[in-house]
Amino acid sequence: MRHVESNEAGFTILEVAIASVISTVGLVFLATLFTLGIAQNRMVKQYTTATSLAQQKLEEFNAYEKTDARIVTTGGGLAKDSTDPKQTGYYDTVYVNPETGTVTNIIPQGATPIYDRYWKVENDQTLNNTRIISVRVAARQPTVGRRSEETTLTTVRSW
Amino acid sequence: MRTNNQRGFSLLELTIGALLTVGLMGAIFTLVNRNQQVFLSEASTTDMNGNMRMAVDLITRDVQSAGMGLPRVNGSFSAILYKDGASGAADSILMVNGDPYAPDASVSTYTAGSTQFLSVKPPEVKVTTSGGNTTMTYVDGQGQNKSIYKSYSSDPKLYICYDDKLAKIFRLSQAGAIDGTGQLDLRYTSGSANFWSPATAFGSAIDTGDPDWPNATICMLGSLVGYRLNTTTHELERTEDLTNWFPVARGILNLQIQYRITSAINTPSSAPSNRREIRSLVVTITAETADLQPTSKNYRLTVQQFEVTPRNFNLLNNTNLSTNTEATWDF
Repeated sequence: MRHVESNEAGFTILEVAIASVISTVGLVFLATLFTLGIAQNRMVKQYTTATSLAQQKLEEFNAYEKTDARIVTTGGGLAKDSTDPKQTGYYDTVYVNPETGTVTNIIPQGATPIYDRYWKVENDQTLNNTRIISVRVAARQPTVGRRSEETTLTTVRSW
Repeated sequence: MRTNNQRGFSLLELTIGALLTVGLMGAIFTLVNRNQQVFLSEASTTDMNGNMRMAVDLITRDVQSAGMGLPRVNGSFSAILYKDGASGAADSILMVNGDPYAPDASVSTYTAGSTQFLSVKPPEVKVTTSGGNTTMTYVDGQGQNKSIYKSYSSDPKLYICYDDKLAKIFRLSQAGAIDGTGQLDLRYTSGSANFWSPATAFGSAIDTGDPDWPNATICMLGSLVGYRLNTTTHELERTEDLTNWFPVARGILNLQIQYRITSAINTPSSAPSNRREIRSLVVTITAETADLQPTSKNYRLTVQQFEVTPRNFNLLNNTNLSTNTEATWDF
């Protein structure tokens, strides 16, 4: 009669459970990389859009006539802190239509993301007829955490 | 002694093994294929973004410097000509630039019959007469002497005569001369192939007329920079001579341009009738993943809108570096 060897035991349930836990932890860790990748992608998009919106506002300031009140009158604020609050007439909220690329002040119901844009017109301390224009654009909905993507650009316009 | 435990696999075992192998291979290939698709999609998206960036960058630079070298008292020649694509079709633009170092001459009289301009000789032009031959030169940005106002046959340079809004480009039939009253005498070759409006050459519907001659200026032509969309190849094309168009970006589906003008600064329009009032351009570009069919699930589209202000147009309002609002511009 054939001798049956006794070393053919499989894994115990405990071993299998431990292996399973280790694999799961590893897989979950890998899965977070995917979500991180997606979040980073959205973050970069929001930074790019914010910069583009700020640039657009600065170009608009360059296009104004020197008699335009928006460039003549100094004022505004970037809403960064209590010493630099936002001021009426110096901010807007914009939405970039992903289909047409148009930037509009009309925000569709439930549209995300939208951007808040603040600007400030200051006199140059040393040069006459020169304005320092700063624009700050912040995404309304931060991708991660509580700090939203934002950018501040500054230019000088003189005449 | 031979042992008895060298049995092979049974048919059932083999079948199960083969099925498992095929299943696993299938799963692996699906993953590899998916990976390949994602790679293709990402590479195409990067390429699309690169094309978009190239288009935005080139248009921004060219629009910002439009009108360079064509000074007017209040700014510069309104150097952007446009063609507004009907019912949503792509737009195109042409920017006219003068040679930034070549002096400009103010026209005193224009006589069509004798194809002649009489102008005030620019002080920067040096006239040398030797053995009955007159040569005219100016000093360029590198301090080199460059000849000017030679006949087109001996020096193939084009000249542009312009006022604030309208212009004519021409070829000189003979070298410039100084007449008895000390004026600069320039003669051009007649015929529409030698004396033409940039608007006509570009096929623009507006501003094809003559400049106000006694109020006009003559300058050496720099470059004509044009952009148009090739709707067959989906390439954005750029030219510097209106003859040779070179593709600068692939996968561009649409190019729409609106103009912010002084009398309606808050609402850009697509076809301003008064180019003199143009203050900025709002450009919208649509790009696609050029190497993928629209039916592919990895096909992507992107659209970007940006604004750019020509820096030379508004000098009355930008007499930079000077607090004198009545500053005169002497380039």
